[in-house]
Amino acid sequence: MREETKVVIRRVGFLVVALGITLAFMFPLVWVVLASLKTRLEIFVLPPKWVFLPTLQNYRDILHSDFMYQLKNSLLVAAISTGVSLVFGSLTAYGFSRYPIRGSDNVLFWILSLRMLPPIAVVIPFYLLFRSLGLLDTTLALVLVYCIFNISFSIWVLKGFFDEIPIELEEAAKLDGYSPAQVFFRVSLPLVRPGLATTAIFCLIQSLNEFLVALTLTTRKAVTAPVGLAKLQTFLGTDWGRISAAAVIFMIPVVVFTVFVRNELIRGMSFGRMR
Amino acid sequence: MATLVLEKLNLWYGQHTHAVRDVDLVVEDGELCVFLGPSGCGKTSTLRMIAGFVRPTSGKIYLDGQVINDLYPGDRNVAMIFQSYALYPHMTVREQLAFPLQARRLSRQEIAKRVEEIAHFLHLEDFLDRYPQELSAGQRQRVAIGRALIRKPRLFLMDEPLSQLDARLRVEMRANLRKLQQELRITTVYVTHDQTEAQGLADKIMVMHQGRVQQVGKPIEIYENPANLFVAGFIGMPAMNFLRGVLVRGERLAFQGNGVRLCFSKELEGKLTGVPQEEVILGIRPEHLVLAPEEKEENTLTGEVYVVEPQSNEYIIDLRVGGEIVKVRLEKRNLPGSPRGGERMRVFFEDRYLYVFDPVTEKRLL
Repeated sequence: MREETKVVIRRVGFLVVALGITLAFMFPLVWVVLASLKTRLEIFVLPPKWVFLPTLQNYRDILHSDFMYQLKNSLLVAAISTGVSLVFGSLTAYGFSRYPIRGSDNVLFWILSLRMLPPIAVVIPFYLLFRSLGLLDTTLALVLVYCIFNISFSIWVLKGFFDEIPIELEEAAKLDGYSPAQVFFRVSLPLVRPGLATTAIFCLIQSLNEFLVALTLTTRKAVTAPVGLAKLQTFLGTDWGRISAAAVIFMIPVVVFTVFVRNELIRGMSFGRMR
Repeated sequence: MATLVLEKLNLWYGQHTHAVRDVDLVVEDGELCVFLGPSGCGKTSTLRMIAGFVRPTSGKIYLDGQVINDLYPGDRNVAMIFQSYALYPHMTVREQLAFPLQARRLSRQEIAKRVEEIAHFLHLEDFLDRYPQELSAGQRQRVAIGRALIRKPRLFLMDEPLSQLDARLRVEMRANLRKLQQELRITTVYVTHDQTEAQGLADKIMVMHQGRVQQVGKPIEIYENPANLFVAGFIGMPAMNFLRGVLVRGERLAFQGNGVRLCFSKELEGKLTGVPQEEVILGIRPEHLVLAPEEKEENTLTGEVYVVEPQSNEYIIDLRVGGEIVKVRLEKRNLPGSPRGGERMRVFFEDRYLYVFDPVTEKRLL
């Protein structure tokens, strides 16, 4: 066989495999989107219908239900806990990266170990704790718990990014007349923007998706979207159309945010090239 | 413009590493002083203390008579060019140049004016809106120089600023730096391990080894009058030949080494009689050895050609003399033809080109 033919075959083969993997991953998404546009009957038709007259009834129902309120809760909790985590995470990570701290390896491991905790192990103590503080069924309680997980994660990821910044850049800024705090804000922090984007996405997804803690600590006022979604399964049966519509709406904020920061994200994933 | 004085400067890293030991130095106003030494000799550590990145364990640093040990780097009015240039990847050239001025809270117009000036001076006008990643190595270096110059510092520090450039550009930039420094007369400390750079740039060289100052002096002094074995061996390309052996005091004084026997001229003999010890190390630079006439005995080494490295205008010859290899640099025009391996060759040196060192203290005796 000629060399060029081999190359073409290899290329095509690669594309087919890549397409297959993508389809496998996209399939549930497609299914949910389709289901959200079908009537209750159409969802259960076998074989599944790929061409049908779409309806927006499910969306109408969801937009007028509690789910929108719960989604607002979710977004609020996720945004605040992500923001707080980035602030504390970047400051702490910078400290660990740039200043000699006695036993810093052990401290860092201890911080990481917070994230290793299986949530189910701590959810009961959290419940008791927040009950005595009178914080049950509040967004504040959720923000606090999510921060515990997200800050430790942020510290670890961002420390890696700060370590990558050559120390001379900061020394040069110090010689140029900037205080350590100014050096942090004007030189170091802008240089870890890809890291901040990556960390933010992960924190956001983690906080938006969290189910167990939210289920335990909330009853009505502070219920979040994942819990609300689960509550759409009722005694009277499961309305898959509405659940699908809710799930689609729930995905939108993450997708939008990811699109916004995707350039930073790609650089973050491939780990900064700064030198 | 400033005078820099280092007084009994010491630096310890932890308990075990004594990186800089008792360094004393005066750099006069407008002078360019090169810290020269192999890697790990303490030259960069000394520079970092002057910049204020590390605090000396003991000793004082004076800038214009003021002790600056405890001054924050940004309050010293000292500028530095880093080996990696340390350009901020997230700023355009214009922003880099303006950055030190913004810290001084100058007005927008003043900053813009000074950026234009310096860009013109360093031929950077066309690159002002580019990022450092989009510049060539030479352009980056000019930006680094510009950022250092723009705030008119009292003292200029340079940490191997040419080491990232290719050989041709390095020679070009070396000349540019020298010209720049002489025009501006800014007191400068320049760190390098490259002796050619040191010789070409310096008003004054401080040779360091294992944290200690070995010698301070003009480039030519360092070359002609090395204070000890280390300086003698470090300066010069190829390095000075060292012959280890004893002075035998018989009827006539002679040197007896590893298969090497050497007798001296009357005058040199007189001087060598003053050397108290028997065991010595003789030093002769490769460029100071010349072909000896047949009848010559004194100051003469006889050997067998071992390796010949032809250069553009000279040969570097490894001569096997007894059990030693002696490097000889001979200009091509002084030789009848290319020397061949195995050939016998006799070379001699003038009296003033012999150096004698103490093998124990490594100090120079003659």
